[in-house]
Amino acid sequence: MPTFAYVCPPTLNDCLKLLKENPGAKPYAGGTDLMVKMRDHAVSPQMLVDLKKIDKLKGIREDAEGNIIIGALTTHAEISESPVVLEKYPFFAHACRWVGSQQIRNRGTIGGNICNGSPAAETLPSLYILDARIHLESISSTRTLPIREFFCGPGKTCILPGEIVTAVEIPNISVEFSGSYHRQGRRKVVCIAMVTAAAMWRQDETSPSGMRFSIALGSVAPTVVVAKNAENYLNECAVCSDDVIEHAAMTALKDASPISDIRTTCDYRNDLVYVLTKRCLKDIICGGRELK
Amino acid sequence: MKHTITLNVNGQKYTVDVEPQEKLLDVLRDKLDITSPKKGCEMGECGACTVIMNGKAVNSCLVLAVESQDAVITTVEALHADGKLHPLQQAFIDAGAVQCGFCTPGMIMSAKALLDTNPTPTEMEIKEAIAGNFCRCTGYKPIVDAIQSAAAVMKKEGA
Repeated sequence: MPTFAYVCPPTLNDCLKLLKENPGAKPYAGGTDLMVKMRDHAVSPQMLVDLKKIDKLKGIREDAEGNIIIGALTTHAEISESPVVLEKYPFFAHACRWVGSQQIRNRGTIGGNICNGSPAAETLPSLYILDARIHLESISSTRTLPIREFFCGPGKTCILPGEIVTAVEIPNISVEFSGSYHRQGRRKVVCIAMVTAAAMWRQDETSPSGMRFSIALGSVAPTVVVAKNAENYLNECAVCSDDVIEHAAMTALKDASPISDIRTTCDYRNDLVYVLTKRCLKDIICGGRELK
Repeated sequence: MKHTITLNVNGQKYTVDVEPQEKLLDVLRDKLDITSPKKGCEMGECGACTVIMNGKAVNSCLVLAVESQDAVITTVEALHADGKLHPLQQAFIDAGAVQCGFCTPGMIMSAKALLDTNPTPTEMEIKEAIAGNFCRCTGYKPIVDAIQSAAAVMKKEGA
């Protein structure tokens, strides 16, 4: 491990000040990605600013409008067990349960998972279809970005020097909806996904079927991608028959641009895009997994 | 710069000087002589270094020692009491769930973290709890059996 200075300031302002004044400093949360990268000398921060004393970055709350605000330091275990997330967005709680092992979920945080910027991150496809918003703060400014504008490449985000993610907000959905998440790894658990997919419909009277669809795919492009072609096709169909689901799942291939890498081949990823998109759509259109 | 931290390991308070880059695993093993957590992959995949930190199973290879200030850490060393093995330890022996033994301390700590919060887990819940603990020789069947029978013993003892 490279050497570095370690600080664990008592206030958010102290953390932000240190991050601004020390360009070689990195914020430190669960450490499950950063520790491995430091061990491999892939990153060598001069200073780690541990955020763990900042209580306002922890926990899940629902505001008066029904928006769910998840503090950046909230762990995957906490999200997957959260009564409010399980009740409103069970597929997102389910996605958090796919992250690493129990030990990793007990330490790894949602803020870290987002900032790590992996196109294979388990949490991201669900957050894309939920139109999540990322809350950012630096010593001199605060801003909120739609998650779809947050990533610019594998491991690359729009986060500015001195800025940290403070929370992820899931805006309330005031109409009926249904969502689903599926992923496939090389083994059942504790592995990085080869492909991830999330799909959702929301009630929308302006659409021929009365439903407006969102689909996001992971690990098939430099960032998580919105399956626009598949969404557009579904949003123009009047009836969501088996044939329509089949065609939509095939159309999702146009939205993916997978590569072959250490985990699997481009061809297999394309097969998985089709299969996982179809599984998600069947879940949400046929009324949930238990009815299959 | 060295930091002086105080932590509670297995009910005993320790004050120790650590460098920022030192991992909890290394401090436990090399400075406190608590050697049940094993050094395996050092990247949070094998689970051999699992300890219970503030009630949760964690990979001690991914925790900086310096952030364990005031933490309560439990390792296998603390499980036996009054010369008697913990039901999990006894069940691992009885079920033949220990072959080379390298994964066993981590496996037992993951199992303990599970049983502490869920005393009657299903087979799937057990498998999920130990998914981050790799065993390369015994095989998982006797390990799952051992955790199930320990849960039954603990329930009986508690009743």
